[in-house]
Amino acid sequence: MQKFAGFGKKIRRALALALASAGLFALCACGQAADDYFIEFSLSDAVYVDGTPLSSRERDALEGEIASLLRAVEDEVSADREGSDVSRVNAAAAGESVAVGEYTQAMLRLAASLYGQTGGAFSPALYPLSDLWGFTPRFEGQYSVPREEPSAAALEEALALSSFESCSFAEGSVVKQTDGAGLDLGGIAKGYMCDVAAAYIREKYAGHEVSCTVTVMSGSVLLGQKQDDETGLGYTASVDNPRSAVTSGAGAGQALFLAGLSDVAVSTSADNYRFYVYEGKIYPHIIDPSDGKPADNGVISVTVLVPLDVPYAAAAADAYSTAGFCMPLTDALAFYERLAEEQGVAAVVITRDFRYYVIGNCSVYGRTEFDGMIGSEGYFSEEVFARAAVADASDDVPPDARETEYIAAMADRQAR
Amino acid sequence: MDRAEKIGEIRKKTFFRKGDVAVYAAALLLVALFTLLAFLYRAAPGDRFSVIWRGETIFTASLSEDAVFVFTAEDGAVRRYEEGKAYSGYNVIEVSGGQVSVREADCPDHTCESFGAIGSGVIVCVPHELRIEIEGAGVETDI
Repeated sequence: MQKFAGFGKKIRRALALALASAGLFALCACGQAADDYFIEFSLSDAVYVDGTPLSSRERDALEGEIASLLRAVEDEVSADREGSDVSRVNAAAAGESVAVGEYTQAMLRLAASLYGQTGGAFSPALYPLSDLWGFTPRFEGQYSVPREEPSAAALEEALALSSFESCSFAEGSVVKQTDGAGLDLGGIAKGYMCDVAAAYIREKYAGHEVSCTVTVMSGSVLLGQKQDDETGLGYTASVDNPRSAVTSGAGAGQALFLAGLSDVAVSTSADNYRFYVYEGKIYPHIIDPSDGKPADNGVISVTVLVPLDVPYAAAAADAYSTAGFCMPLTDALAFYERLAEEQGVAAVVITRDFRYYVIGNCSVYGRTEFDGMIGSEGYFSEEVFARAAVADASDDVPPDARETEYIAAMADRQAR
Repeated sequence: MDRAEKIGEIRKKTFFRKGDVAVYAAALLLVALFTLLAFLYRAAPGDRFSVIWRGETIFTASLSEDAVFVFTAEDGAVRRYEEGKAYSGYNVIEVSGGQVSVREADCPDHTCESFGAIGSGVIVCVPHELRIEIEGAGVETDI
């Protein structure tokens, strides 16, 4: 008996210790301070290497490695971070040579090439214009405040400062040609980060087939083929509903669905993030380099898919989706048709008349259609956007009644 | 060991040996821990709610704006609640602090009121064929 009591005590002590540490661990996990990094990065729960899932420990380790890699990128290129290469360039005077790190250099090279490919519709030199319209970090928390348009003189000045030639780049350093010019790599940042993550995964498991997804904000890379594919649909993606505020019923946040995806980068640009409403008009944070104003072509969301055999596919997808936003609708559709032929790109363009256009080879489904395909029949009560033929598109995009309702609702919300 | 000895041994046995207490305590602590975790890891709160009557979404509104609505079963409609007005066949739906609750109702069972204020999930009123749903994540996709 005595012996047993002693044993019990030991058990109790061991259990108490185990439980205390379990409790402590749980508390740490919950109370983990959110770091001040802007990027939201996620790796799919399942990561397959040669058809076998990684153990959760291996997967978490991989996730940690990618997260620290992406933070290093963000430290260099974010205009939001003090002391970053981009912040130092933007604060520098004309003629001053600012040394920049390897990620910034790589992004600048990429940006220059994408500037050419988009005919200037994507530009990394729009910082002065973004600042003029109140979308740079110093306006944080006030992006949605309704405000008057800047004067024509101020716009002209900022437009001149925002020319692509205003910054020259050579031998690891950037030189500004004019005071007040500046870089904003936000248009390819999330895509580039996806590329960096994908490259890291490929390198780590070189010689093996990897299947997983990496997402940085509204950009993603889908590596390999979907494994354990119960529905047989391959990787699937939902296109966020930029008008969910005026969409009723369940799952209002989802507008369209893409299926049958593999080895592809996906990027979405939409007008429902960093925007304001003034006198019945939406001013999105995406600036049109041709006139220096927030894009206003009747396009409300663009999703672009770029096959992973294109170098820096995710950064390209990011720049292409931004660029399409800044073109008249028919030009944007023609631009994506050209990319579809040249690079196998696909695109889904949603417009303010609540229609959508599909370019290139991809399977796009409406809400109710997709609902039926995955057997959750009846989850969605209605479609939000109607498919339209590319040939019927016109540059004049009259707003749907729901668009008017949305703008009024946003104006009301932002006024408070 | 003969029969008598065996019976004696069994008789001596008690429900609680000292070692057992530790096991029970551990079990209780685990239950407490998991209950705690269940509360901490609740589903992310939604930002809108819908009122579904006879399977059809008849109303949807934001959870970020405090307001009081009233559902009337007679016409299956949701309106702004008017204080002091007499309703019959109704549920008063209150949005407060990002949560929704049925403040009062004249249904026979009052189950809907017992759901309390919720920030995720559903409230059901069977007699009035009513569901109040908070927008969840929607249909799951890979990205």
